Amino acid sequence: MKIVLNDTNKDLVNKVIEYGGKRVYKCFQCGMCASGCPVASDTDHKIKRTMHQVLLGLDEHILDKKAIWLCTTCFMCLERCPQNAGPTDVVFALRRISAEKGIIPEAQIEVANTIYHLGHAVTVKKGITLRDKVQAPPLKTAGSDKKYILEIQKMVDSTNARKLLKIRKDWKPKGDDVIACD
Amino acid sequence: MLLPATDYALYTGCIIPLRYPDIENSIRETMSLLGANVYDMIGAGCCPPGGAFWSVEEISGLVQSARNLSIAESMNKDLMAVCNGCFCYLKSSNLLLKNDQAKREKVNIILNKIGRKYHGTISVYHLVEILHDHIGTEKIKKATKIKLDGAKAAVHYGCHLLRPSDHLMAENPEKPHKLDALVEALGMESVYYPKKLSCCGAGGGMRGNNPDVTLKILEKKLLNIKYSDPDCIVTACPFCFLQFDLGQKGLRDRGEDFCIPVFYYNQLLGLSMKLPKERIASLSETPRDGFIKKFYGVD
Repeated sequence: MKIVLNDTNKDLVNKVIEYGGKRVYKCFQCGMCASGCPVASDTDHKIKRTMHQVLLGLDEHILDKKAIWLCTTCFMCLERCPQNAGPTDVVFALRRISAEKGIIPEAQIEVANTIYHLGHAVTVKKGITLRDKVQAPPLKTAGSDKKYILEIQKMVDSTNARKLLKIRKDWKPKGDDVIACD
Repeated sequence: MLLPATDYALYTGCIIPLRYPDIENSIRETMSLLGANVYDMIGAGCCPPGGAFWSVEEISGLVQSARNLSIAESMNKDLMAVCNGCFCYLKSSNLLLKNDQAKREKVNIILNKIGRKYHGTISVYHLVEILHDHIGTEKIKKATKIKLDGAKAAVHYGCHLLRPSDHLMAENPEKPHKLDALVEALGMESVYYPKKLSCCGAGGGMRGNNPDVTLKILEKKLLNIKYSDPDCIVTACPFCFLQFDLGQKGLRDRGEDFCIPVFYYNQLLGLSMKLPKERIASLSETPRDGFIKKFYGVD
């Protein structure tokens, strides 16, 4: 297949740059990013290919398949890229574009709701039981008092994240064991 | 040359205070014995890490980090992070906000609504930096009463203590040495294993998103660790700790044979200082009593 770069859809690459993937154009497809990637061999998240697809404007291939959400954000690709093209930054930008289109995995929604309602990414009640068990001092973080959680909610309500992460007022944790950490 | 170690604002995060409070005890008690005072950050929330808020909108992650930083600022103390994820996102946010006036102003408009303000007056350190660069291994050697001669440790740094290195500047990202040096200060041998700097497989939302893949990545990591047949795994990140602890249980439930004891660094440090294991190292799904009995003689 002949690829004429002059005719590619530039909307995606421009948006990636705007959303944080500022150096995506530097990619020359060497593959260093994929060589250290912990998920490349076990998932559909192929970082080298993703970089190329952004430059070619193939947005439906990236956003619809949800593979960008399988990045563990280990930053190995960003660290080792000889061009400093920032592959992890590109993944973050693509996730932001994807979220704007309403495409976001359930796990992310759960993490955001947990933090929004409990002040932490894990449930608090079980934590307090465990603290008593090991004689830890009383909890003083956000989870200890509703007034701190209200502060966090007020901040999040001032951003678009409440809508993007589908935060619900009537959300409840699925159980006391929940570890929604990311 | 060592930096002065005195007072720190202790940012505990989420996993340590609410799932492994024995680790929190180990940090408080060992730091106090080493002469570093830690103070609670009242009302501190989730850092937050990259998987959710940062992944949909920068400002929503940044403003939550800035709130946490502003709590340490109001205490007039540098922040001590005891989790890699917290360290990475709080330090990166601090750097970003110190250097980007437009973002600082945007963040402060939101913080103003809750009566807080970010000034950019403190630094963020990882516990490993404080132990190695501020306190120093000589002082640690002197403070310990039991030497772990003959014990072999597989050191796991975890991603967000090292990378992105241009923001974090805590270690050489391809050849880190601080946690190894701290482990050796306890008398243990830090053994080589392949792909030591690779990810444990927990972060970025992976544990929640895809339980099969998270265990697959962990299994590869553990097979590499088994190469050197260590007595335990040592880390200074509670999320990696959780992944090794609960993840090995997950693999055992699938019939796999993985049962390597896992410790947060300060738990071993505390045991070497003769602190009671009930308070500092009693919560784990992967058994550690065999190790503690063998090397510390404690039941």
